[in-house]
Amino acid sequence: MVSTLPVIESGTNTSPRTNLWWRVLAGAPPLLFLAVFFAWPVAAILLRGLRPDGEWNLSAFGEVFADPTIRRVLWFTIWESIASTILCVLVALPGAALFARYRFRGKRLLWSALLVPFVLPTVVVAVSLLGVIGSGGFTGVNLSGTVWAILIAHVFFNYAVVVRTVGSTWSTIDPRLEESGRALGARPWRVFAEVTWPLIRSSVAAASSIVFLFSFTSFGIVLILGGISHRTLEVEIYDQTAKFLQLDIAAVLALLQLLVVVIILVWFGRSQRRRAVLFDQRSATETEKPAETPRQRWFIRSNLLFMSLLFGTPLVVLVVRSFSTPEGWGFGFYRALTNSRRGSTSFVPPVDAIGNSLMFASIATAIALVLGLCAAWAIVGDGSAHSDSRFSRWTDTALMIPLGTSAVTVGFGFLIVFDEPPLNLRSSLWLIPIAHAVVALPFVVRLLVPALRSIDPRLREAAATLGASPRRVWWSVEVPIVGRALAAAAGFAFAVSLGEFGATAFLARPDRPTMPIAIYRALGRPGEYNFGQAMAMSTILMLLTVVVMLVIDRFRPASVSEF
Amino acid sequence: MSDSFLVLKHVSARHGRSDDDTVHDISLDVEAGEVIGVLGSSGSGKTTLLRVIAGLHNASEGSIILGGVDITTTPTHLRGVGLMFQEHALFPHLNVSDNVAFGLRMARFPKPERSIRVVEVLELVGLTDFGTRDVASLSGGERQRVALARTLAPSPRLLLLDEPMGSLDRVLRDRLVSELRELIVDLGLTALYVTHDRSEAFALADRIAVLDEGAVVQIDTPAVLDACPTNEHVARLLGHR
Repeated sequence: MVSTLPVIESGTNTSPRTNLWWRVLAGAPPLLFLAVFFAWPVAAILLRGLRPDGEWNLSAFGEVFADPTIRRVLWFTIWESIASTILCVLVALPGAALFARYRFRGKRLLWSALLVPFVLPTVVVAVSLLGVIGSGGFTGVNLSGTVWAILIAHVFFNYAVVVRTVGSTWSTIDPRLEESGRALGARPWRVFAEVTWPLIRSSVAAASSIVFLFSFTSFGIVLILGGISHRTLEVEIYDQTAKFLQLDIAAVLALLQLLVVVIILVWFGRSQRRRAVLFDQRSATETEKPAETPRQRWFIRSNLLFMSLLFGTPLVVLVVRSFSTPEGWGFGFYRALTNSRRGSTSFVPPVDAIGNSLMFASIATAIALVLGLCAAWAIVGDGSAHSDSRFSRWTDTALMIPLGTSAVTVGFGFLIVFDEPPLNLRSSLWLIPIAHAVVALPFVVRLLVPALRSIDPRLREAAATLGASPRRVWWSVEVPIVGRALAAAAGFAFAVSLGEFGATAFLARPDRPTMPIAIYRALGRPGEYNFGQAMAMSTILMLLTVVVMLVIDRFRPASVSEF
Repeated sequence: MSDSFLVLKHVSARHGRSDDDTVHDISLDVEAGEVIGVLGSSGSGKTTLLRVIAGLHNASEGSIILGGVDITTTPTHLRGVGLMFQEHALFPHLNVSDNVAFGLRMARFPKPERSIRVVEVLELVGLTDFGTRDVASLSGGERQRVALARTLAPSPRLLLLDEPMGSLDRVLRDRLVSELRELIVDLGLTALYVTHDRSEAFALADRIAVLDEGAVVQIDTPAVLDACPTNEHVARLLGHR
């Protein structure tokens, strides 16, 4: 976040206490929302695992750990996420260096475009990869059901996380530091190890912990690409609930998963505080330069080639194959979406899912925006020095917890809690958009808080001296300035809701599938036409997401922080 | 009881947790139409003093009386005091006209009168055709003028200027200072002008208040101040060796 004016300390006319009172009031709706729709369901899972019959009973734990299948799942989840993280960092570091150090044509566009794979629905990515490395895939190599398919998918998703997080830190490092290292006689790799690495290490750690969490709680990817032999905790929780109706075991697994997530988050918070090296930051335009030597040109080209292979191949193959029907090129698969074909068991024409998804996404976006705005205001306050209080940090952390929790846990929790009084929403259509809003809220808050913080406090003060009451300051200064961030947040929330699969898998009614659910159902049925329908629906969903991301990019404020 | 236009009585205020920029026990009488220069080095509390008068900062002790009314606890937006910031703080989402019109909008000026007033004030600061310009496209001097126009538009009872020339180069500064002096006198405004620059204070002010460590150490006309500085610190601030 960049403030154009130097920051000065600021006081206000309203006493800190009054200010805090208003902020608590603003923070109440989002915190209450999370208490009811996140904390309560999660707590219910914990109780279900720890007190199955109203009495503390840990025997379910014994059962779980005694079961070799589940032990295997636990082990696989851990090593798969570590492997994904290491692979992703190794593969993405050159990309980070590319963006940090070189100027080339289309750089800005590419930087924004990198976000597209990150927000693509997991189901779409899984289907695209099946098209390339599945059975009968484009490459002729069948990796479906192997751990490689899962690792490739995780790199596909998280490449942008590492490149953008590390790249933006790297770009603030003065190249003269590296140059003096070289002048002092260090070979290039030593310069990297001794100069660059210590400075980017904390941002690599930040990116790694995000990648680890995403891989650890990966659901759609593993469900579709992992086959029967490779299953994560997330998939196991889903199976235990939806297939075997073993709620107690599912609860214990969800508890275990939650525990790991919390440990990672706490470790991450600690390491961030300890490790960060402070240095003079340069603006990115000072540190980038065009390629000069053939070697540098080769570096840029090979990086670009890698990105187009990683992202381009699956997505292009997806679109192409969605048009190549057994009867030749055409819209056959798309037409098939509009009717329930003979022999297929779907209750409604799959095309209905598009309308459902758009409706759910609109409601979820509205909920997430209103609550996110309240929350961001509660966190930032009037931007003055005393606004950065304990209340602020506490609210901030509380709102981030859902980011690290698996969607399946949320969906499962909803299932346990909201099917009986006082809140019987089991058959209500509200459950899905509410669950999506829980998932999207942290993203919205993360986008709005820096935007609100970047408003120079003097703008508020100038407005006050010109006769604006606090309410009018909010309406005529703050809202217009964060307007762009607000639009970006809306787009993000919409995209998140469109692609959400984990929670929806629990909550979708058979007659009201969302697009990812419709795709998953089509995949579950045999036959080329069903796979074709999944391809066609995935193409539509991908296009919708890309359109939303393009809209975000138009509104993207220059000074939005990374993730 | 003094019947000056602005009266500060034993005003104290702390700024943040540090001792820097604290003001203590400041008393000051300003007559209507008078321009007071507030001169001090950084950390002397001069900015805090302005912020207290503007109501952006609470006085911990003492009282502030403006036009015979005690405004010590009046919220900023009801004080009718114009404040111009060092970095101008122009609203980035509004163009030049809308920036200038902001205060008029808050005062619920009807639209036609508002646009007349905006044109008038922009003319006053020499930016006649700048209305539709984006504030990001302005030069430093232009930004400064827009900020001045914005502050003047709602006709504040008292003009507070916090190092308004701070971010400008020397040549531009000298020109603008004399223009500003003319403008203030023509409009018959009462003003407090905070600066660390001796020449600015001398060029603008009827009287100069010298601040050191949060207290007024001397207040006199420029001539008297120059002739007999009260102590060594004042002398040094005035450039005497």
